[in-house]
Amino acid sequence: MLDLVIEASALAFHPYVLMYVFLGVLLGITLGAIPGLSGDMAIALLLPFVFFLEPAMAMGLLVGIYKGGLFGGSIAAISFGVPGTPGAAATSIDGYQAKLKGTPSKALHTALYSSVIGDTTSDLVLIFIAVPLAAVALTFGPIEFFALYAFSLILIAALSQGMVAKGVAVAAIGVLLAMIGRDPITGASRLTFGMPELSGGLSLIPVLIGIFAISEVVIQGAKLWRRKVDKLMDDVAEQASLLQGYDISKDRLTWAEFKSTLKATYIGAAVGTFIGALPGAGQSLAAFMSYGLAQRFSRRSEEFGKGSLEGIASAESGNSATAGSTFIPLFAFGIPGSATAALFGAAFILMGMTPGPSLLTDNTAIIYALFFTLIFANLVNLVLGKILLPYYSRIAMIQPGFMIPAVFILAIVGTYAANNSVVDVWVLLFAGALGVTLRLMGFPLAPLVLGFIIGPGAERALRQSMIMGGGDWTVLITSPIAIGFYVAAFALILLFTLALRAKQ
Amino acid sequence: MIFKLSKTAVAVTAAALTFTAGASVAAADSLGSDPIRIVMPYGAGGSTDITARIIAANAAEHCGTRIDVVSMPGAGGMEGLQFVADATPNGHTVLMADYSATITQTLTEDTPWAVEDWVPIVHLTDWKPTVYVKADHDIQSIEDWVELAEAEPNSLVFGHADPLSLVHLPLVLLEQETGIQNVHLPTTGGGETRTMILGGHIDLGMTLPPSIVSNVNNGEVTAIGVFADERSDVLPDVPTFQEAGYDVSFEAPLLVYTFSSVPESIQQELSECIMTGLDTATAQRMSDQASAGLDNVQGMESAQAIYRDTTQRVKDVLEAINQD
Repeated sequence: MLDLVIEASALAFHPYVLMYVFLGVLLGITLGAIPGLSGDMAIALLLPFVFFLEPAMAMGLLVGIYKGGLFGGSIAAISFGVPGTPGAAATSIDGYQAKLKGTPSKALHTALYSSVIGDTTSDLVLIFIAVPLAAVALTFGPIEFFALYAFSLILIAALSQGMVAKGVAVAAIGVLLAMIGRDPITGASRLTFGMPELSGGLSLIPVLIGIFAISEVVIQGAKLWRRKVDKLMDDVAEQASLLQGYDISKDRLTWAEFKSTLKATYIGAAVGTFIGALPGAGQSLAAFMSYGLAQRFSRRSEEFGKGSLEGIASAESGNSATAGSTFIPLFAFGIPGSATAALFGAAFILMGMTPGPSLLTDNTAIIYALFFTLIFANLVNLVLGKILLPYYSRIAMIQPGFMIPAVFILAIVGTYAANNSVVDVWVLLFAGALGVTLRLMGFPLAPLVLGFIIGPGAERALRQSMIMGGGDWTVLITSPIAIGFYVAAFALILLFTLALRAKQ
Repeated sequence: MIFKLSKTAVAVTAAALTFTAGASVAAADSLGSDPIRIVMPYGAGGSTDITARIIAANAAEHCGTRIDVVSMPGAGGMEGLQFVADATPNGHTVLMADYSATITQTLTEDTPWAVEDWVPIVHLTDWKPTVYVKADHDIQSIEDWVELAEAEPNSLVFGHADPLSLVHLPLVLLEQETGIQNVHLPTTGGGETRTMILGGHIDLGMTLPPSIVSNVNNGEVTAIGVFADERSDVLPDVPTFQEAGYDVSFEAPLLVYTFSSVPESIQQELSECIMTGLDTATAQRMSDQASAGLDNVQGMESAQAIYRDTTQRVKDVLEAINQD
């Protein structure tokens, strides 16, 4: 065992490997910060080069990009309200509000620390209890997945405190939007209004960026325009003072503030690790579930949605905590649980290692080296993030007059680049218009996005369960895990109602 | 700082514009020096992606220009096909896909092109759809399956990715041949099918051999039969359905296509340079490691023959389904 650890650390801590990790994290943070570009995309582009690198170096580079990208997504989410990656959508809810309050640095640092803590937790779980957790993941079939999604839908109600009806209504719109495209069971086109462009459904990235970012930019632009017409000169002065008035030394995350976010971070780490290990559930679901739970268990839940640091911490830690555990199904069964895991699987294959149970036994030293690299990359992420953040905070406080067109261009280019699709750009603009309408009418936007994210999975799981059960609804309560979820959902509703009564 | 930011944005926009504008200035009847784009109507990271990247890494020097791989999964892959069909017909935008995109979807949906508009120029490999079960399942052979399904029709659940996909049509064909009935369960793809098999949620599944080799070697799943004329190289112990006495074979060729408006001399040139590139030692080594099966790459003649065969076969199955 000791020999193995020494051999693996010699591989993992080779100067070249360290250099590649460093390079990867830098690349990942930068790409993640640009909406539409993600670590995944860079990993896909680098796949052929993996073949020509030493496995440990290739791993270092890819792991670095992946982790940097996970955190980088939150930078755009906080600075511009544009989630750089789908996983960062939940981060943008409170992150952007915090920035509007003039505390981007606090928000970015909270995101960095919670991201690193969540990620490290997940890596440790991968290293030490991958095998038992993988066994749990396999017990999730369609019936259990539907119960999980139903449970998440209950959390939507929890998310939109004080306006449950509006929250449920927009969640339904989200589910409806997600139904556009192909019927998951028959493959027939539906709700496409005869437009073949819609037959593949609406992509996640344009909907996310449209709902969150475009709508925000349009509303801000409109405000700015009105002010300009009213009093042009005053406005110029005011804008200049916004930039000059920002003092980064007053925008430091204090130790007390950091400590206050820890509970939310731990909730995120636990939820993210668990959701990450389930094949197909995804970063965004993890982030939104953590956010919902953290809000419910927070002492200052009323601050959520208004720039709460706890909100940022829970979302970002939940999102990053999928990083290690998403490899669990890949290592244990050769099943890639996410797009990233699929890309890593392809990289393993190109390096001559077959993902699956034999991966560890056949390549023990290199996999142990990968474990070291996973942890080391978190440290690099922390250090690089810490060095880069002051600059990002300043960017975040640039005058809105410059910012609005920049965000608009970033959103459009980023959307196009993600799938090379012009249709996606139209979807982005329509989603933006929908977002503006809903904002003006006072609807919360997060439930819509969550409905959109879990809608397809929930429908598929429900209809698969029904097919397997021969059309009998009782099939849904034939699994102990599913029953557990329903009971937990019921208990949560009860708890929330009682808590609400107690408050009143 | 903002200046830098918008500069990046401009650069990205410019790159994106170059992307859409495409290689419009190439000479009429031979390949120019502009980059070639291989459009793949699937997401990144799958087996098609790996194969496309092996081509990009090895054929570039023989085709005389850089090769980029572009993933366009939008609109169920239709956007990728549309992009290739709309590109300037100078051979700098090619498509790489199995028959689901070019044949099945073209026949079942309202597309602006016909099956014949896609001209296959390289026949990369044949995928062999394989039926598998969990290692401790009652069914451990083709005979077990047919027997059980005949005894109790519609009691076995079969997971098979998208309906009418290349891992579903063979099942339809077998059911026609034998008269057995199974519950067809669409999944998101090979990964989900495998999770359900390993978790014991469903009875049988169909996938392509490379994705289950390690599970078979580990004794977690049993591959019971292959829908092909010959056994799979990576699963040499698994019999074909023909060996078991059922005349059903449905291999899925992976092809590189140009749109029909591309001049034939360019099609020929592209076909040759890709084949030369894949014939190198590095390409073969990459293919071996990735189980991409690029050891018997064929040119235009074979590609077009197999395309015609496959089209006929898909038409037959679709007709039979419509009669039901």
